[in-house]
Amino acid sequence: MVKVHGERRRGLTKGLWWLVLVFLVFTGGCWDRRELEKLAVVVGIGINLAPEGEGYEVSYQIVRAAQIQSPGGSGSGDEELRPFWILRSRGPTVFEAIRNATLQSSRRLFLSHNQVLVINEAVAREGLMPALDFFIRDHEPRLTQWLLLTAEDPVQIFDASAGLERVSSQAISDLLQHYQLTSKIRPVRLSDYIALTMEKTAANTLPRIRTIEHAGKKEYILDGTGIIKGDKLVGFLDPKETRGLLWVLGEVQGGVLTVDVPGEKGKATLEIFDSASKVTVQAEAEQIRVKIEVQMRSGLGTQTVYTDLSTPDQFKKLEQWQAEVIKAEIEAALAKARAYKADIFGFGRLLFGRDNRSWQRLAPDWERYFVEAPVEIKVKTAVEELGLSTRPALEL
Amino acid sequence: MAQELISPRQLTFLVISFTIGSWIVLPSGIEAWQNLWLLILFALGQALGFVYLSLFLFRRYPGKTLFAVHEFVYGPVLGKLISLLFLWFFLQTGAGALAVFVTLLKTTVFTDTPDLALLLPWVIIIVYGCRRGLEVIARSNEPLVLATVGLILVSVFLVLNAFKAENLLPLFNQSLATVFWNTLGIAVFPFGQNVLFLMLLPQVNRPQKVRGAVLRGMVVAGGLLSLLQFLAVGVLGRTGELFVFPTIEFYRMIIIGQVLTRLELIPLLNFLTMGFIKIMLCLYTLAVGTAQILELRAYRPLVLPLGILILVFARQIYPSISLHLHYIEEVQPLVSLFFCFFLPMLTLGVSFLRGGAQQEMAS
Repeated sequence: MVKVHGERRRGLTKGLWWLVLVFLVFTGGCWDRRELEKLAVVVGIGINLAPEGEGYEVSYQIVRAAQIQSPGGSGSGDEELRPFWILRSRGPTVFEAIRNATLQSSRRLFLSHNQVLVINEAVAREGLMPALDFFIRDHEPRLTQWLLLTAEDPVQIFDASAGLERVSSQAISDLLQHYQLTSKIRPVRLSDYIALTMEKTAANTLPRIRTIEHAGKKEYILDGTGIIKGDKLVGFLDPKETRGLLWVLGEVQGGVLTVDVPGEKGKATLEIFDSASKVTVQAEAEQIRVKIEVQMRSGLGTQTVYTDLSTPDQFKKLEQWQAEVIKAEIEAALAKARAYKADIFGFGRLLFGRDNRSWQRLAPDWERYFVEAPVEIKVKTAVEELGLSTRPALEL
Repeated sequence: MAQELISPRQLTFLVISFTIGSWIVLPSGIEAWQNLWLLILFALGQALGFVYLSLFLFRRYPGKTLFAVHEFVYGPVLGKLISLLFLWFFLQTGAGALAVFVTLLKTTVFTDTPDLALLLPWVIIIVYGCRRGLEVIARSNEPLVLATVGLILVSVFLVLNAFKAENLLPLFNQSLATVFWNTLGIAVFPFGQNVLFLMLLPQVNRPQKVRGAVLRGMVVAGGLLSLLQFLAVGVLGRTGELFVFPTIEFYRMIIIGQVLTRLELIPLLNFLTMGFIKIMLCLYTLAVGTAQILELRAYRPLVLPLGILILVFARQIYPSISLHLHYIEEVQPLVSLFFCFFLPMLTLGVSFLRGGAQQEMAS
């Protein structure tokens, strides 16, 4: 009898455990489910100062999934047919502004797939981190978003025609990733920005974007670079100077370079194949000494003069001319950086890594050491190809 | 109590998962982030010393759990008091891991889910596992360890294009005080916690192999954690200092061909499996230890109430992640050092003194 009772009890416990297991399997994990049709997938976020009062005005480019699939919707034209929706909202902080957007949007904003953060320059002048902190702290946005500066209202950028793409944020993200076709902009991810901000001596750069009017349609163009020193926008680099910066960082992986042919009325354009740089920073008692060595390879892309530039002698000259151009670009960038006292090249970072003791000694007064540093620039170039033709069709 | 036996290899695996445990997502010694991967290796050396010494207790009293040794060395009353202190330590360790579990899931994946909905199923499974006994825990642990080791090794290939060697420099820029304090912090948590295994060693079927098994487990776990930190610093650079869960953030940075993203599930999975085993071992030891102190025949009836106790404690002693981080940084090294090194050494010393006295009396 006692034994039977024990058996029954054991059976009961076993049954209970099974019940618990079934309960766990079928009830767990439904709490935070998010269905695609209940989400507003944000692909671009713009941050601007609120027009009146304190706080921020945040704008969003939200994908209309249905319109993306149907071939009917075009980039512009009928508002209802565009594959995205632009929304803006205000709040004292970026986070509150984003939450306030749900007063207008029937769906909750979903930030995980955001591609670009377009920041108005007025915000950048006051300091970026107060606006960016939310994107670091919150679990949805990723650190791999691209950062951009604009002088205009970010909505203008989102509103512009996306060209061959459907959604402008996606197109901008693609543009940035093809930077090496010109090497005239420097794409920066949110993570890069934070990393450089945490280096006390370094200054950040962010690419700029602006709209242009073209045949009655608005389009956008990447144009130059903003210098961010101590989290605040202080100045700008033009595309040439930007490439000067890229040469030093060793990030030029393509693009073209035009040289004047002395003594002739014309130019030659060379295609950059790749480049590499080696920067050494040497700390001395009262100054730093910087040595920049750049190596690049290129090929003759086109020429506008009637003399033959394809001979070995001319190649030697081309190498020399392009080295001068590169050197001039680097010097232009260096002059700007010195003018703003902003270490955009990361000389301090190099010293921090290689010679930490000296860095700690020099860091408090880094601006002065950076500006006064003698910089030696060495450029070694090679022209290696001349395309498919051996000489110009017409020589004079 | 029927003795359940595990093999030395299973012991090694248990040590690996207990060490990796919650550390994989919430590391100690974050102050020295840049050199953390090196500090892990230093700390591993230090902890190997601690544990090697502690294991002399088991050599001297083979077949006895730590609590039995306490009673033997200090006498029944003082021995039980010291054992009670250790119970607190096990409870706190388990509750800590459980608190990390809740915070991590609440901040990354299940933001709107109530705490209890996360905790209850988890604790129910842990209680269920504990009631099955050590043998079952050890056996279920084996595939989980293999999966974790596999995922960590696969990560090496996943991060290759995001890895920047420049981020690893400079190798030594912290002050000696920072290095010592954080090395100590890592040596006692996660490595020093392995003092818990002194409670379980009598259940290993080949006692002569115990020491090698424990030390091997620590070396493997230390190597894996160091490798992971190495990758994390290479990818995140100094940015890593900013984050509560740097490992998660490091996996979030991985984007391969615009397709392979959202890989934070890898560390989550590693933590869920390893943390699961860790909390389960804590609860098991807690139950077995309590049974020994109260001189009960079976530990099983204690598992459910103690499980609920851990659950309550997890909410009570770690009310916020900010406090938790502060605790890990400032207090935990000392508390853990007391339990992981000082108390075992004291016991060993006293036992030598008393053992010497007994021998004199015998002669």
